[in-house]
Amino acid sequence: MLLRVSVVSIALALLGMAGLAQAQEEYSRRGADGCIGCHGDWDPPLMGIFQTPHGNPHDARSPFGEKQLQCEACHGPGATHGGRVPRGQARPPIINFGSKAWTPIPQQNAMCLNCHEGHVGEQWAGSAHDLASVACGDCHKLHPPQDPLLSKRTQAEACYACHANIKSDFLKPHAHPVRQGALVCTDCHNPHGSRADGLLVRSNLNETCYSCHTEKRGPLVWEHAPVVEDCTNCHDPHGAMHPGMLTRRAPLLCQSCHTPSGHPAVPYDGSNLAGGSASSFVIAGNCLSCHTQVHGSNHPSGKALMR
Amino acid sequence: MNGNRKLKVVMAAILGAGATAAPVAFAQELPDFEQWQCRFCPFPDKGLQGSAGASVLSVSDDSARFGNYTGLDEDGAYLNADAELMYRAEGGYAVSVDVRNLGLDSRALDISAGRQGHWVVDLAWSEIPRRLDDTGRTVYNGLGSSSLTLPADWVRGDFTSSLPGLQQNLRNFTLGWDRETLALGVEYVQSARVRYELDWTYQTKQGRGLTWGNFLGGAQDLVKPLDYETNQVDAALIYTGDNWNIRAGYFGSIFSNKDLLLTWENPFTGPDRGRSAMAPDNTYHQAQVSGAYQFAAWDTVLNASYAMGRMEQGDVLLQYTLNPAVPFNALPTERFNGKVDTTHANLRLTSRPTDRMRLVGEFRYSERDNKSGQYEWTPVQSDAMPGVPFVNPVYSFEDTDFRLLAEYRLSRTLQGTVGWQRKERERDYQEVDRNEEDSYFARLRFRPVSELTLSGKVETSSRDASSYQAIPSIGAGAEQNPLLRKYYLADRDRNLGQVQADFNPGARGGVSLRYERARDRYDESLVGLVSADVDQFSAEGNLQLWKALVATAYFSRDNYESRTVGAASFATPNTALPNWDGRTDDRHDVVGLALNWPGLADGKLDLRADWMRADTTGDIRIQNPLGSAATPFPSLRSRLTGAEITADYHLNPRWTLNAGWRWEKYEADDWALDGVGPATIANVLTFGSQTQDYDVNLFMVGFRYNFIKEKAE
Repeated sequence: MLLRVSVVSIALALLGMAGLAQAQEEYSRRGADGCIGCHGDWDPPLMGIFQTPHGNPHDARSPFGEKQLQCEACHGPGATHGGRVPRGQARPPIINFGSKAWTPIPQQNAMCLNCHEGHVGEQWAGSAHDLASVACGDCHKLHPPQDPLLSKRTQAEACYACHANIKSDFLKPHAHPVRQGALVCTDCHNPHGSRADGLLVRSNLNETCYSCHTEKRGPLVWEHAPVVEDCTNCHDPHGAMHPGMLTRRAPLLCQSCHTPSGHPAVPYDGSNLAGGSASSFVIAGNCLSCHTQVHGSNHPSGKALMR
Repeated sequence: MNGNRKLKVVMAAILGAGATAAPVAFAQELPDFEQWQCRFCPFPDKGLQGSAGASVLSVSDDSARFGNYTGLDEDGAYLNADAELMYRAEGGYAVSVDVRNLGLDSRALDISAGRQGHWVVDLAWSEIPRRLDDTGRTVYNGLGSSSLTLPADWVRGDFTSSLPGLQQNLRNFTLGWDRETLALGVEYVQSARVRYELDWTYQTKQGRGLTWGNFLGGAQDLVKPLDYETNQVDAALIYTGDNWNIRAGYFGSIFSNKDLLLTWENPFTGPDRGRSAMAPDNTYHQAQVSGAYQFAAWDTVLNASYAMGRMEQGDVLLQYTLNPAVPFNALPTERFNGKVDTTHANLRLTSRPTDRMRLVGEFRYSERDNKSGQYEWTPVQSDAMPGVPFVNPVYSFEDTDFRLLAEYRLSRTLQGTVGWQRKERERDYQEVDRNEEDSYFARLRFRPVSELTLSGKVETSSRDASSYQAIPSIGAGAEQNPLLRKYYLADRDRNLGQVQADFNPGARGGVSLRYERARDRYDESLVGLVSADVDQFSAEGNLQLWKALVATAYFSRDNYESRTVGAASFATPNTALPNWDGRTDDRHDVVGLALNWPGLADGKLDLRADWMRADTTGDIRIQNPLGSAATPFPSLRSRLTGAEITADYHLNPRWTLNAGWRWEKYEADDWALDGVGPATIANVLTFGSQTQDYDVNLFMVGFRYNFIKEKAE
């Protein structure tokens, strides 16, 4: 019911905005049968929708559920669009989806939210994607049998359409395994909005990281303050050129914050490599060789994160 | 139709009213559903649909890095299979099966059964193989256990050069682990308004990880045991009202580690053994509620969320040392009373006073309230030397954020947005008690024609720190240089610019260009990180070259530069003035080309070819204040090159033959590893791991079977 009645209002709203308002835009006489008559063999194929949840006649919520509005559930009343058009006149448009569509994006998205408010609406309004004028149809493809965004095999490529720079990050030498297909974007991000920065799936960044790296949650006897504040103080989670996805190479990274007298404050250079003095502060495990518990220690003697 | 239901007014109707912003109710004549037969709707019949395939893979070479996350780490043949199947039964019941990499250690299996709109049950299994290193060598026995021992005849020495048994006892080993996840999910739709979701995951992580051990003056690379177990539960009740929705949920996480300690023997002279604590068990429970309310006026939406949780950790603690020769105190407590309460909330109001304008205001609150016990500990340094008493700090912080944003559509083609954000963080036990950061941004989106979108964004922010204070340390030797400002606490000015152009003239092709520049300046920091710059450019284009042949090309360049100022001194405390700086210059270039040519040979042959190369270069320069360079570091370099050709030949609508070749080559120069053998560092016995260069060819032949109806064939 939500679907049907909201469509009416939205369709009228759209028409009003576009200056096409009519007193009562009407639904078509034959429903989907009329649409398929013209669009059944379109390229790209539209009939794949009947393989998808939207085309499921057994779900009362589906556009093709019993006594639902079929194609016009999403595309709005189509009597005019599907009716006779006087010679020389353009066929009146119908609600369409995606950034290229003539239908304003807020109206497109409102149409989707009519039914999906309870799935995605909690944090959508005012979220990063909403504010970037992303249309639902920019990401979701509803007519193919499989929406690329909902398949772990194809989701990342769909996201890269806008986030090409992130695709490059995953090609860095040390990266989360999205390129290999072991992770997908939605393992960490909720594209429909979040209370956290970066559209993260949990309440904040660290809690998102703890979803997989549960051993780092603690709390521990000796915590490393920047670690509990924000993992990205040291890590670039999409990918980095330094081991451990660190933003910079140790010891320089550690020396940004640690300056006690002696070895933490001393500069190291190329003379400290294997062919030179072979300093333990620079090569192999560098700082970690001694400060092994850099994420925090639960050892009573772990004050310096060495146990 | 269900004529007794009332038509609703939704917020979109108000949009139609434009600037009048007054709710207007529309009624609509619903169609005569008797005429809506959907006779031409190709609803799928009951039965099996989808496809399944099997293949044989041949990998040319052993490589842990190539096999990292893929499971293809050993040379030889692999039998693989995958499937995407759905069985539809009467009444809307269906079972779907999604199988990926069944024959590899990266396999994933997902079975879903149910009746859409009523209930669905998901059962999933997945494995992620982490292959960390296969180039290292060690003298330790007991790898993967919590006790690492040296060979019985091990003779200890002061340095790696004086370990007589080192070379003959070194042996190859591998580092890595497997992460396996079993997941069960249930969704039950009680009504059009009420829905329940329950997701439970059980995950194990087992294998060997990299860690280190140390005694005063010496250290060694070690293998730590990984035998983790995590149970997580997400449960939610979702209610959708006429113009509001609410989700009430629970998240629980229980982590268990079967190896809470690691004991190892000292290869050098000094204490016999050392012991480190491994990650302790922990739990987290969080109650959540979130929702949205749509007001009738101005398309106004109120989003809100509130979550309250508690992390706990109370494992039995190890003693200060296992070395009986070192006197140590009794522990102040047998178990650490670790307890952190978390609170997260947000309130966001979005409104459209006119059809041209949108306003957003948001308040967010987040707190980590560390209520763990504080005790006076008397640590023993490196199982070797009694230390001085110290009380553990319990880090808490509290974030309060505000955001205001106004978006205005100047015309059908031009849209502008301006915004302000304020972030406040209060913390304790650290050098800075409070940060305040104000950000201002403006964004413009210009779409002169539907094929072209130009957008740009500028943002400037300033983070102010309250007074920087010294925090307690163990003696003068551990005190920080007073001129240091830690970068995550310090005053910072950040400027960011971003431009993007997307041109999609039609189905034949399109191009997308993006450039971003960010500048961080820490002008109040005399010592520490003083600047960090990011420049990022990416371009991607695709073009239909001929018939169905489509080429996609992409390029990206990513530059990161930073400058850190140091103040070196061996005097205690270190009060030296700045006397050196270190600059980093990291660059990452990616270039690739893909050709996709489906429908060859009368539609029977699909061809695809990809080529990609990703290069990184990292330079670090150390200079004194006068600019004289120290001995330069060699460049850090890596080069990943890959090529892939795949062909699918459709024998008929049911059967497809697949063949493919993939080549990947990785080369790296890393001065942290290159030429570093187990005994290269005098006081650190390392694994001697090297960069994991590889050059691997992967051949694949297989078939795929489509389950389709006779008439479709």
